[in-house]
Amino acid sequence: MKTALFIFLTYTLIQNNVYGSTTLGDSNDNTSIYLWGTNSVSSNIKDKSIKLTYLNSESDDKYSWGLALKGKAADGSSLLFEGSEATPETTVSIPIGKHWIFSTNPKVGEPGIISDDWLFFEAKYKSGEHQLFDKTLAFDKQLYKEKLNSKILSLSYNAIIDGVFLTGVSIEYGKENNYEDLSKISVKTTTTIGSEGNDIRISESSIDAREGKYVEFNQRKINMDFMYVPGMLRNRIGFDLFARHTSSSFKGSNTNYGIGIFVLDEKGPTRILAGVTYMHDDEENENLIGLVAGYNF
Amino acid sequence: MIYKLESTLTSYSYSVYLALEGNDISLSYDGNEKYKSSDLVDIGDSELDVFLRVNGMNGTDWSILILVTKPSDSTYKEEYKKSGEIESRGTIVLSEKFKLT
Repeated sequence: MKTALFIFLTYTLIQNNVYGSTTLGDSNDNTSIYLWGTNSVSSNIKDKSIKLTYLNSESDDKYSWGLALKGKAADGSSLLFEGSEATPETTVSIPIGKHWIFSTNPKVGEPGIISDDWLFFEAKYKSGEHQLFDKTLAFDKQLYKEKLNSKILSLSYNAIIDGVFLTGVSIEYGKENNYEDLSKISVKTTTTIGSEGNDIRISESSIDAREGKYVEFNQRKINMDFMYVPGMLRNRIGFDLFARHTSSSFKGSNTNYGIGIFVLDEKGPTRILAGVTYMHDDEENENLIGLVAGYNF
Repeated sequence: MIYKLESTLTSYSYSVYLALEGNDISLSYDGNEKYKSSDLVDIGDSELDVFLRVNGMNGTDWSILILVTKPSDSTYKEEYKKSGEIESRGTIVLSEKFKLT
């Protein structure tokens, strides 16, 4: 049932401004909630990516470490590496976690108001290559590629409060670009192959690219989530209020607020079965609705 | 007498503690819901002291299964089973004595 729901939501429900992701993330896959020791496969149909996460820990370990790989599909498939080089749009990250920051280690005694909490530091390496078009350049240089291999650092703190609130705050810093904001175009090239009498034979090729001024800049992101799981709904429904803040010297500062409603696993409310998020993006002036499906192994 | 105890705790909690006969048990975690350990423990009075604490979200299920065998007697086998859920304040404590035959 869970597998069917996962496949259905991630591969078929694409509509205008409706995107799917398989974590607690919003439509842009942003979240401040990184669950402790959860191995998972997640995907996001907005950017056609799939992410594998592995974390290693033992019950009495204060520390956890892991590896996450994210690849974006190109022409229906996604390669993470080609030889020793990361393929474009591959993200490799190494999360390192510390448990029981303000909560009590269950070995020591009863928890206080904070039932459980943990901190994650994550170092990411993101490989990117973007196809651009500039009609002001010489004809054979109008189509060109820009590479951006960026290093991103993030720190997140999550806490379970009184058994009913799952909260998180995360801070991220790294190099970004404005590729997603540029105009999408399809560049068609027609080539004459030959002619005989009145017949002319041509071939046509097409390349998707973006047009406009390409800029790279450093960006700060702050994500905050506050999810309430009421006991009166048998701990099966979670209500998430969230805030997403970005700031950079190029784009300025932007804060958006949203709400999410999640259906939670009957065996544990930290596992998401399905959900929907709503956020108004002030910068783009659009309403974003995200569909969420969970799949853990 | 020395017993072999194979413990399996199943829960979506990330914060668990198990002590058997007062000994801290280090459980390996599969990153999903299974915590496991295999230990040799000296149980003097034929009663196994089990102490379990599980912290997390209310509504989180937990279950523990301990298979008890004797290295000196291949025919001996007992099972200790218990399950429940975190009902309030994000924690449960189980403290019991399990009589061995």
